[in-house]
Formats: sequence, C-alpha cells, structure tokens
Amino acid sequence: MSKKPKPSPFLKDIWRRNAVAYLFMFPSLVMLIVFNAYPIIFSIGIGFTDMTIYNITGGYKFIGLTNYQKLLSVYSSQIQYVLYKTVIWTVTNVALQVAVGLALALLYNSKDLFGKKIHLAIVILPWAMPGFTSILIWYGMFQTGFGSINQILRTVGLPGPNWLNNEWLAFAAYNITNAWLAYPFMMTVILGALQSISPELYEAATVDGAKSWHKLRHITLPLIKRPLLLATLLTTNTTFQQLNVQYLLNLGGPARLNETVMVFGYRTILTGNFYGLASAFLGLVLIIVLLIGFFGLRVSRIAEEAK
Amino acid sequence: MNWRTLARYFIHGMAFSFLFFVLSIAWVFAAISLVNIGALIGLVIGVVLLFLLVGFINSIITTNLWFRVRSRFWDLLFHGIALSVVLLALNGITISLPNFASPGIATSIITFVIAAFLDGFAAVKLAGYWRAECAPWIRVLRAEKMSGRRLAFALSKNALAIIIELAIIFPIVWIVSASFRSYGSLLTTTLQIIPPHPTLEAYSWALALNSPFWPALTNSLLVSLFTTGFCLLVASPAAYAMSRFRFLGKRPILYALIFIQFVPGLLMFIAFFYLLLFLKLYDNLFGLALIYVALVLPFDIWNLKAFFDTLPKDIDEAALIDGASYWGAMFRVVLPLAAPGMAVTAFFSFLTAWNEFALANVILGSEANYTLPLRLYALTQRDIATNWPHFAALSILSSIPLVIVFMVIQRYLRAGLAIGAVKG
Repeated sequence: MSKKPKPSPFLKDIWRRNAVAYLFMFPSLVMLIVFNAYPIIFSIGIGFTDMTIYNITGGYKFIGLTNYQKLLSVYSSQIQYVLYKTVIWTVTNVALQVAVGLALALLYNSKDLFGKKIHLAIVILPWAMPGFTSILIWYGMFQTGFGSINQILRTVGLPGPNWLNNEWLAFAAYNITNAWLAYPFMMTVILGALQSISPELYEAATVDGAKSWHKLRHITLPLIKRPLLLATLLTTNTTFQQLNVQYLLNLGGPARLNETVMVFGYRTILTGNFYGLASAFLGLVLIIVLLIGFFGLRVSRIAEEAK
Repeated sequence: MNWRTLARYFIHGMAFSFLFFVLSIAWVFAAISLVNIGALIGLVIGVVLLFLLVGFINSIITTNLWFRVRSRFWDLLFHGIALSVVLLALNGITISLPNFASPGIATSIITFVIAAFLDGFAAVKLAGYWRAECAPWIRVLRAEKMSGRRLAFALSKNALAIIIELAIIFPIVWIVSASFRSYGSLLTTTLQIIPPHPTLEAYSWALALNSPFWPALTNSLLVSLFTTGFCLLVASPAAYAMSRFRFLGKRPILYALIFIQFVPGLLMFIAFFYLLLFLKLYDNLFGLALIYVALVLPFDIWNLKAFFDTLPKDIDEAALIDGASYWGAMFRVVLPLAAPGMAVTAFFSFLTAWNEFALANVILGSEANYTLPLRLYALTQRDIATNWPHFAALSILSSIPLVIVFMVIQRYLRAGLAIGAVKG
C-alpha cells in the first residue's frame, strides 16, 4: 500500500467503516432483497410447483421435477425450435449492429466531415426516441397497404410484400427495427474509443507508407478491441432478451414462427395457465444467459491479456 | 441570459435587416447588368453574389457586436447559404404566417420586433457554429493542398453521410408527415412525404381536454418520476459507500449486482405478480413503480459507482479531515461534482420506466391506469380502423420532450460510456 503520512478517513476504524457503509447501503439492500433477490429465488421455486393464475393465492403444490420433465419431453420440439430461432435472431442482429455501428463510427470519425456536430445529432436520433414509439412507428411502416416501405417499393416498381405475414420477411422486419434502435449505442461506444486513439500513430504509419486498410487492420481495430468486445457482450445480452420488438410488431409471429425464448416465455405467462412451467423454462433460460455472460467475460478477458 | 444580450440580439437583427435592405438595392442593379452577360451564367453569379452578401453582412455585424469571424470567399459563401435558408424559414413562420392570418399594423410591428430578435439570435448562433465547426474544416482542406482525388473523396464522404442520415431519419419524417394528415389521406398506395392537404386535426384531437393522451401522460410521468427520484435517492448513498469504503462483503454485493442485471426480467414477472397481489398493489401505478425501481436500481448503483470512482478520493478525504461527516462529504462535495453522472443515470432510469411495456401490460388491467406505451399500443391494434394520424400526433407529442433532454445530456452520455467501457 502507499505510504501516506495520515491514514485515509475511509480506512480508519474497521467497525465504524463497516457500520457506515452498511448504513449507507441499507435502503438499497432492502429494496434489492425484497424486489430482486426474493423474486429470483421465488421464481425458481415456482418452477417446481403447479402454479397457475387460478391457484396463485394458495393451493398450488410442490410437484418436484415434473415441469422440467415436461419441458424436455412434451415441449421438447417446441423448445428446440424457439432456441434455434433465438440463436439466429441474436447472431444476425448483433452482427448487424456491430457492422452498422463500426461502419458509421469510422465514417463519422473522419475529419473530412463538414459540420460534424449536426451530423452526430442526426445519426444518434434513434437513440433519443422512446423505444416503444419507434417500434410502433416501424409497425406502421411495415403495413402492407399504406406502409411507407411498400410505398417506396411500389415507386421503384417492385411489388410490396406483406412483410409481417411471412416468416422470413417478418424476421427481416424485426432485424431492421432492432438494428435501427440499437446501433447508436454501439456507434457511440466505438466513436469514443476511436477518438481516444492518438493521431500520431496514424501519422507514423503514413510516414512508413501504410495503406489505409493496413492502418485500420493494425492500428484502429486492435486499439478499439476491448470497448468493442464489451459493447458486443452487453448488446448480445439485450438482444437476446429483446421482447418488445417482436411482440409489438407482430407478437413474434406470423403464427408464432419467429418466437424467441423471451416471447415464448412472455406468451406462456400471459395465458395464465402455466406459471410453474413458464418459471421452469425461464430457469433454463437463466442458465443460458449466465453461460453467455460467463464465457463472454472470459473471452474479453483473454482478448485483453493477448493484447 | 440577461437583458443586454437580448438587446444585442435585437440590434443584430435590426442591423441585419437594414444593411440587407440597403445593399440589396445595389444587388438588384448588379443583377440587372449581369443578365446582359447571359441568362444562365448571370443567374448563377447573381445567386452567388446574394449569398455572399448575406454572409458578408452577418460577418461584419458579428465581428462588431460579438466576436471575430473569418471572412474569406468560401466562408462567406457557405455561411451565406446556410443563413439564407435559416432566415427564410424563420421569417416565413414569424412574419408571413401571422400577417397572412390577421393583417394589421399591430401584427406587423409585433412580428417585426419578434423576428428581429430571432433573426439576430439565429445569425449569431450560426456565425458561432461556423467559426467553431466549419471554418476549421475549410482550413484543413486548404492547408493539406488537396489533390483533386482527395477532395472528391472528402466530398463523397459528406454525401454518403447525408444519404445515410436521410435513410436513418426516414421513420421520423414519415411519422411527422402522417401527423399532419387526415385519416383518409394517409391510406394511399404511393409515397407522399408532404401531405397534400395538411391538417392539424390529429393534434387538436390529441390535445383536447377529453383525449386519452392526458391520463396516459399523467400516469407515465407519475410512474417514471417516482422511479427516477426514488432510485437516485436510494442508489447514491449505496454507490458512494461502494466507491469509497472497504467493507465486509463488498465483492459479493458487486457480483450480485452484475448477476441481477443479467437475469431476464421475465423470470421475475410471476414473482412480481405474486408480490403485488400479496401487497394488494395489483393494477396500481404505485405497485408498478415499485417494480420499476427493482428493475432500475442495480444499474443505477453500478453506474453511479463508476462515476464516483472517477472522482479522486482526496477531495472528500480533505472534507472529512476538515471535520465533515461522511454524509456531508457525500452530499456537499461528491454529489455536486458527479452531477453529469447523476443526470445520465437519472435519464436512463426515467427512460427505462417510460419505455416499459411488457410488465405494464401484465400488471395494469384497467384502462384508467394505462401508461403511454399501453395507450399507444391499444391505439395501433385496431387493424384497418387504426387511426394512424392520431397515433402519429400522440407519439410525437410524447417523444419531443425526451428527444430534447437526450440531446442536451448526450455529451455527458458519451463521457459516461467512455468510463463504462474503460472500467468494464
């Protein structure tokens, strides 16, 4: 430890220090225990009961691992499908967000841009709009008749498809909407990282005769790797858990064909008949989320050490 | 902003109008003689001269009243083009519209005074923006002695950026356009961005006393403000303790906070439902707000801790050695310094509560309790009978305040994200 003439007041007296810290945290801890810890434990517990909306106030009973057995037998094919859709959704959308965010950050970091503040204010607008409003606006734009996307297509001379009624077109619509909502976060993080790179590095590379591609490959990307990986990890989590986009656009449809685990869980809860089953299912999802988080942190730490 | 500044804006606007009036007479004569050279080339030179004139007048006045601005050819030209567009739009709204609506000497005088203020204000802001942002750009271009290829590259980047931005704001443009339409005129098969018969019907519906907008807005504001205020109040001491003290169980608590943020909110829905039934707060805004606190609090503590960590410990140590209590050191020294972090955290808490749909959809049963997301969603679920202009007006009215606040705090946001990215 550092050699200071006076001990820091934060380290003075171990009892007092602990007492004050817990006093400061007391209201938060109460809230966290009542409204976070208790619900998490309770929900996992519900997974072992036969709770429905009709017996939630009393009368539900412990049924052991029956829910999990059902999930792995009766609902097995349904769950496999939902998981498969979730993986495709997460992978394509995160890739889309990273690609758009990186491309835009590189473009908007250029010093050739005229009136940068105005450009940035416009390009960040999707973030400033309240999310549910944007989703519903996109819902209007994807309508078959008066939806502006089909209007544009017709102007160009293409037939306007029924976007939300075809499995893969609806998937594309969900992807476009979520990418529009989420790219500003990615772009802002990367832009922040780009701006912290010292211009001398590029000058030195130019003197050495490096092409702009090489500069991107060997200077820019290695230096923004860490914030990029962290932002990707965060956005993977939020994209995986995205519920509003699919639900507000077409209830994860058409005909439940594009349901991710979250939409599936939400719709199961909404019917009110299978609280126990839904909790068991979400318990499994929690395990997946934690695995993603754990491996994500591992990967970003390894990447950092390799640097 | 004091009265002197206001007066200077007014003087700026008046001086601009006067000089423009006098010099435009000279411009008319010049333009007449230019037509003799040839129609097209004369027109081009005449328009360029007009822009130069506008830029020139504004740079003279700005240099004398406020600050020095560069006045080379390209500066004057671009500055003039931008200012002409702004002034045309501004004067169109402030002078032409009212005088058209109710002609009269009083209207003319009032609108002229107001327009002089606004023109002066816009001209100064534009000159300042020019000096800070755009003039350096031209300086860089000139200093690098750009080759034609390099210049073309730079210009194409600008063009690309503008095209991308047009695509990005298209949904917003569409919804603004839809809000000025009547129900029938939206249902066309071809794209018309500018409505053929613009009407304010949707806005007058949305702002009428008995419209569903007001209760939904009140509900959303109540829930979101309660969530934000309560979370900040509870989270800031906790974040302060986590940032400053070394205590037993700090690491487990920090890991628990990360863990909670990774847990899907959906998992807790049934438990929330159960908890609210138990507390007799089901279908109740206060109950919903309590749940939102639970969703937001872990993020708030974590985020505020990251902000407090960036402030050196020495400042509050000094306060403590001078005899302040821990509480005083936090409230008087650290919180004021962390104001940007508090603002960002508050805004995100507000936004989370404001945007939440799934949980409100489960918990709020009665229509009187609907928050804005539920109200807007209900509005769009009527298939062919969905009144999109009404939806458009509602969504614009409810978004504008948030967009403005977001734009104001976005520079803090970038700082906060940088911290988050560095800290992990």
